[in-house]
Amino acid sequence: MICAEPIPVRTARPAQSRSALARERAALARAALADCRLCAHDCGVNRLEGKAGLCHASAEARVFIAQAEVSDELELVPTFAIALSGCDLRCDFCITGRESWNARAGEILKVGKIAERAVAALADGGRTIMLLGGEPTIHLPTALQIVAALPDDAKLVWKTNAHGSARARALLDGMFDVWLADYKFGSDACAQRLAKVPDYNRVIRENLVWAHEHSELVVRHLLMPGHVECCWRPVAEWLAENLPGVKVNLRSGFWPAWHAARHGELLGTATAGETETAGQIARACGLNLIK
Amino acid sequence: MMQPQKFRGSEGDEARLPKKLDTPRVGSCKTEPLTTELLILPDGRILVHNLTQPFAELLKELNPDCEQISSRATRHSSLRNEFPN
Repeated sequence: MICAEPIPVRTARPAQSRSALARERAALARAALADCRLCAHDCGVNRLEGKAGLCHASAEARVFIAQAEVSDELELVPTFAIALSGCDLRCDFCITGRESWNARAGEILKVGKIAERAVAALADGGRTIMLLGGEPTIHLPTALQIVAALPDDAKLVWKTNAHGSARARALLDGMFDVWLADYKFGSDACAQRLAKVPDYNRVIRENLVWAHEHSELVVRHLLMPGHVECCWRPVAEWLAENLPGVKVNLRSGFWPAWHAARHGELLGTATAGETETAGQIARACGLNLIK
Repeated sequence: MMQPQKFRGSEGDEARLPKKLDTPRVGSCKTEPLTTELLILPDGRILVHNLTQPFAELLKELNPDCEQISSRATRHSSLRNEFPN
């Protein structure tokens, strides 16, 4: 797979605000939809003319959740979560499969209205604003428009599957305070079988290393039943070796959502034994686990 | 998604498909319902997704000793308006 080259974008001028830069970047991101290579699938379709790539997303973002939540990392909550419909991955166990697999789910996103609600949540005690999906990368123009509409001092979280392209990363540079990135599969074979995504580990690692260098990074891994050795162990070992000290949230709350029943090992939850083993692996690797 | 935690539940409960629970809000946010999804397991554990403050408070009442929930159920001023009258 050949990933798109980054779009040459300016970094912020000394006096330029994040919101002003986001406004410029949003225009660039919108133009990039004419040859969409925002994710590593590198489709190259013209979404401005209604062509659809593997994510099936149009040029207009839709939203299926926008509310204050407390289920994310303790250091990030309460967060005002803005979940955009559609995703470039096809994880059979996706807990929001109905909306993530369908970019036309939810409501048309009105940037001004959503930003107003987010600002109100912050004013009332919210700690962060989180953009997520589905996968927000495929709606980068809208995501950047939202950033442009938010206060420069708002703490922003980019919740991502880390399958973006170098082009997307260039547009995201300096826009979000925290990258909250999923590292789902330690095995490319599992990634192909469960999420229909090739070359998974190379792409995710490239994104994680970049995110670690450009922002605060929290890596999540959802422990899947039957995938401790093939997926969690290599993820833990790679993080320990390549991103020592990075914050890691090992999540053990897998449930068999969406099309999980297509895979026999995903019919239930992780066992107590698997959860214990996963914790032992994390401790042996010296990971910086957070809740 | 929260980590699984053991809550008091009826023995023999069947694991159910995730339920979406909409909580009506009052005040300025009354037109925006909140959504939390939960899965109740046969052993009494409850898994939750999109946990909101009102639901965290409810789960805390079910099991005050659950640290995972208690740490998130601390009342934030932002969520005062999310509790129904």
